Amino acid sequence: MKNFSYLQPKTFAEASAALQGAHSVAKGAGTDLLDLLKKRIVEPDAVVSLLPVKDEEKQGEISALATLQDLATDEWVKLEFPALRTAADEAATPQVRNVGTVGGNLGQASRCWYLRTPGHACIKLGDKQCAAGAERAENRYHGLFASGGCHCANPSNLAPALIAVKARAACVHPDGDRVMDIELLYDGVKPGRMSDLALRKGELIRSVLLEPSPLARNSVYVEFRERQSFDFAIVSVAAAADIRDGVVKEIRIVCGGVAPTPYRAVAAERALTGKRLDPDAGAKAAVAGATALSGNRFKIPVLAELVRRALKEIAG
Amino acid sequence: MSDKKIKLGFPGNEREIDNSFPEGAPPAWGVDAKLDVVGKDHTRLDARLKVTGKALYSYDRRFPGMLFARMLRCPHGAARVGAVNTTRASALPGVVFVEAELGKRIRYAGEAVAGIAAESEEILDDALAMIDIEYEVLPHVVTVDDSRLADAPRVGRDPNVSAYRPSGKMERVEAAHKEADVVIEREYRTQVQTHSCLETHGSVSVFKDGKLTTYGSTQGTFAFRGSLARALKMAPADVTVITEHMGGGFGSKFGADAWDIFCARVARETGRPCRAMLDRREEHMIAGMRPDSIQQCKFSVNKDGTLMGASVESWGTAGTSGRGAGVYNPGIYSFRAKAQKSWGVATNSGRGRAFRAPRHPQGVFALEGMMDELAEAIGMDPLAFRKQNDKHPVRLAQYDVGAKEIGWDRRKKSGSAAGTVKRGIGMASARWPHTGRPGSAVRCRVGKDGSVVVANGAQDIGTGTRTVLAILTAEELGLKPQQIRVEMGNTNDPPGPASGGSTTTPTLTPPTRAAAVAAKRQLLQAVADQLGGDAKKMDLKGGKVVGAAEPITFAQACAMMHGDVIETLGRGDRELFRGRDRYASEVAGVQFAEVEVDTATGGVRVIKVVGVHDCGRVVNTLTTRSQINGGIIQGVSYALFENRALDRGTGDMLNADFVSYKIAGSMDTPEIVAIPFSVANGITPSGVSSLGEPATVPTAAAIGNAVANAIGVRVRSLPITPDKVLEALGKIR
Amino acid sequence: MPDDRLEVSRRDVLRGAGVAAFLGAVSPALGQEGKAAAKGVRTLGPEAVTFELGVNGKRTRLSVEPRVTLLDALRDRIGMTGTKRACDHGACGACTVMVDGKTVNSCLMLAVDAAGREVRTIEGLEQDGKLHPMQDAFIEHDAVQCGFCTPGMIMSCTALVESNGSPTDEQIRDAVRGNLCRCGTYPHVFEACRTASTGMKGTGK
Repeated sequence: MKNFSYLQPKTFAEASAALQGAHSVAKGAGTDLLDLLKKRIVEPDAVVSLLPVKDEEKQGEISALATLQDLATDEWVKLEFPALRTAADEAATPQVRNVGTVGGNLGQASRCWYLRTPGHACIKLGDKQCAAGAERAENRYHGLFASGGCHCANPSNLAPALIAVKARAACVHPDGDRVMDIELLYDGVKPGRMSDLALRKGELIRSVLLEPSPLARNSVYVEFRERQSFDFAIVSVAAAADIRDGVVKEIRIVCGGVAPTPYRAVAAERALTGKRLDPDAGAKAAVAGATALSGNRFKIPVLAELVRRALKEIAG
Repeated sequence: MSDKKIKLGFPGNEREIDNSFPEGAPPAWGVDAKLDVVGKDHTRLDARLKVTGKALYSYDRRFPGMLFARMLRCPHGAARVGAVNTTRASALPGVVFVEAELGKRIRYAGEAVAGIAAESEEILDDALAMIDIEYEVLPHVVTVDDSRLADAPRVGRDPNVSAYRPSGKMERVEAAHKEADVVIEREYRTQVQTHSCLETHGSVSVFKDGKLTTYGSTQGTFAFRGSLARALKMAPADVTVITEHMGGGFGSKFGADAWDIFCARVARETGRPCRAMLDRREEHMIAGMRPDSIQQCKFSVNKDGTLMGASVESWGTAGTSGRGAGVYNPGIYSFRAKAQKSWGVATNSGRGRAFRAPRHPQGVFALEGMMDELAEAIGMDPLAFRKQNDKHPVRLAQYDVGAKEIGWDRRKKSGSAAGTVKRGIGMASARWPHTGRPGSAVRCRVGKDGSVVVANGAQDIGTGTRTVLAILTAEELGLKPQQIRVEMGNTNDPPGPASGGSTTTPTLTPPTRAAAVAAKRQLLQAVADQLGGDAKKMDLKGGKVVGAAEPITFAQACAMMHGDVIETLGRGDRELFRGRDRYASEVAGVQFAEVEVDTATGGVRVIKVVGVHDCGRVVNTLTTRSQINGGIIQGVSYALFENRALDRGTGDMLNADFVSYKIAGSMDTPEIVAIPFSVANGITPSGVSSLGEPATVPTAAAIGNAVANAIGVRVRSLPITPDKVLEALGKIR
Repeated sequence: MPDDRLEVSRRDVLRGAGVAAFLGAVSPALGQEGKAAAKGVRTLGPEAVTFELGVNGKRTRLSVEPRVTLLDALRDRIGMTGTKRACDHGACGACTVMVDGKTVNSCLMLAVDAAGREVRTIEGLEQDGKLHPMQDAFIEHDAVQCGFCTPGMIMSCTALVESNGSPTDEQIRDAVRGNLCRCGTYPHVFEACRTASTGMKGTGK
């Protein structure tokens, strides 16, 4: 990789200020960034490390620098946000979970092999086409709901679960901090923007805000992988429902691996609200509008099945 | 002492032959041989080095002033190299050597265009990024299907498709089909698989006083030495190759490659040691692969289970050359008539290399699938069907052992299991020639101090060869394997085989024993000279000399030797490899697999695999089980996960890593029951035979058959990924 | 406004047809804008950074550029070659070491991030010539073939049993799911881990 200056800010504010310079990137543990650096897909002059940042832990907040393992073993998370616990536990490998951060997991770049193999057309990297959309492309791992012409699949385990439990993100930026629904942080694919997050330049997620609720407590995360040992999900589904007297008061169904951003199956949610939870109906509605590419048609029945299984679990 | 007769076979199936090995040959071991050390569990001699991190692989060799070398590689499937600007790279401080191939015609993504050597990996990385190359990108073709089209771009100078390897007579097969009750025609496909050795290819070269020492990651120290010497125009005697340990080869690492030669040239011209190791991307793209296959199979059978005709027409790519992509099909079973035609299909992709049982896993996947389909067509149990058409006595016994272990009687009618998640059981067979060959030699040195050192210049690639040599020597000398020191992997030691074809153990066994036997005789003679008595009536057992005038230990016997050391050279002479009555000139194996298929998602999990394998006489039951495990796990990986993905647009490899090129991990490993099946085969005095490759031959086929049994429909294409399962089940609209 | 938090410049990415130029700066320094933004923030490099860390209990000094990984620092600078480089992108676990008691892929960790921390490698398991129980178990069960994945495997297994004295079979498999083995030692690794765990009950860190 190209050499760089290495900055060690003490606070998120300092880090965000330091990231206002050109050609600089933020680093958590670096488990995704170092892959991109080694391939010279990203060549910053400065790497701003978030590891030295010490932030006070507040009630109801999980630091963006908490590790996946922290999340997977947290008793409060296990009780109040079971989908989140499962998502963290299923992720990657012990080595990655031990250091990989929540913020890094949300901000990780797409696994699309056209992006990660230099020399291929990628909208996020500034090209006009998405190589995965071609008829002859290798796109078995790509998505069913394109965004901005991009067909990649969001790789984050945590994002679907966080959105399902209505998590918010506290963000830091020199122009002013803000709190946003994590769902709104994913605003679709923008040409020339590799990151999936709608953050301002140098803006950092400092923590994730979680509020316990009947919906969040009744949440589940399911994943389908080809290889059980270490694999990004072909499809993942996080579902959460507030069910009173057998009727769905509120429900969230968020899918990973099927779109560049976590995909909220809004049509399915609408179809299920106010009724008895019917997993089959939810599954059918979730895949409505799915458009397969030349090589990933199989993802449609897989998505339907995972939605069905997730809904069956939260139906109780 | 040779006995006059040898009892061959295995318990329950024995017969006697005359011992035709020459006088003075190591004693022949029959079925009832009583052996103290051979045939038991023994821990590896080099295990301690490996578990402490002290074992030195090529990648670990470090020398003061060492340079690092890499090649710059073209990312296009086909191109011509135009202008090359290495000015900035050459000017970078720490860059010591830059060389580019101008005007080169590139025929696959990953082909080298330039080579650089620098003083650190970081400088090397920067320098590579500074080389500017203009490419004229040319049309390419990366799949067999595309390459067979009439308008496909030419890959090389010859037409893309070239016929070779015809065997048998198609007319006889067609005649058999006409007579047969049932004829089935199917297309089977297998994928390109990369070796994925954990240690990549490469070497470290050091010149001193005009002589070269190269630490190479190789399966053939002498082959490596020979190719280096030729490339550098040096005498082989001036080149030493050292491979004490290497991190996997599986057929891809024999002679020196272009980067090894470049590295050695850098070392020679700069006078500094140099290291060249591929990175993972290069390893996947250019260091070899198992060719893929498209097999058009037409098989026929009679209602009574008699196999009639079998014809296979196959296509496959071994990369840019048209050759090397055949399949082993049909084999094993007794067809009345067989015929085969193969075509090699050139593609713009990294070239194939031998990969653990070349041609067999591909061919057997199709063969065993067809066998199950034939059995189904005539309503016969697949196991009974195979037994009826397989004459091999060893395999017939193995079928029963394996069937019992997997619980074949639990197998249900295909597709009849209830529920969304269905289980199924399948089976497949393997055969492999006995590949021990003459020409090797082993040196044994017994010291006056009681030490024993055995040496051979070939390599232990992780199969446990060192320990085998120690066990064989210990058996002759009445010692424990831990008391033997074994030196391997230095070409200054006596010649040994390249580890290809599952040949190392059967080849080295006769000369190892010969060396030990000769050493024993000299030692016992020294005892007789000292104590009196007839040396021919003495032996070494349990650390002692038996039959001597006084009871003495091995160490005491050594103290009686005339000089400081008894040194013998055991030779693998031709006569030691030709048991006159070849009971079994091949090894046999069978595997049974149980799988679980989620019919809603298409996910397949292998629950259990039973592998029953004959490797002649089993020397080390512990490492033999490890080999069988390893072959099976590679087979699971081949069956379910692995696939080289080349982009048809650019010709580049999209999954040249270990994230998207998926090899089986701990969570994908089934329960494995590895059953070594020892056979006294009379081919050599010990009957030790081949194992490494047969252990991986039938696995994918057994899994394919198990999946078909589970879901009632057949996936005829590897890898058996969820999309293919769902498609077979009609769930993809 | 397009976000360029992870800014990628077009010219830096290798292109297909026509002229392909792959450029990169050598010794980047922060531009004016960058300097202003980073004012007051502790900045290391881009030249070599000198720092100390513990390696198997021994204080060790390193002087490396920020881009050097912990793996390369261990192998090429300190000369401890027991930890292996097999994929260099965090997918195979051959580079597994422990940092402050937790396993990490050392190829995905910058050396400078280990400053002031305690790194434990395969070389650190043996004490005064006596093998660690996990090493003994690996030998006994033949959980070793070519041996290249072995150091990483052992570190993962050791980390497991040191935090969980009686792991289930599922937990053992999960502990090494990030350690790939091409030779297929997994079944014997599981056995070795089981044996070592019963031998190590109560020795949790």
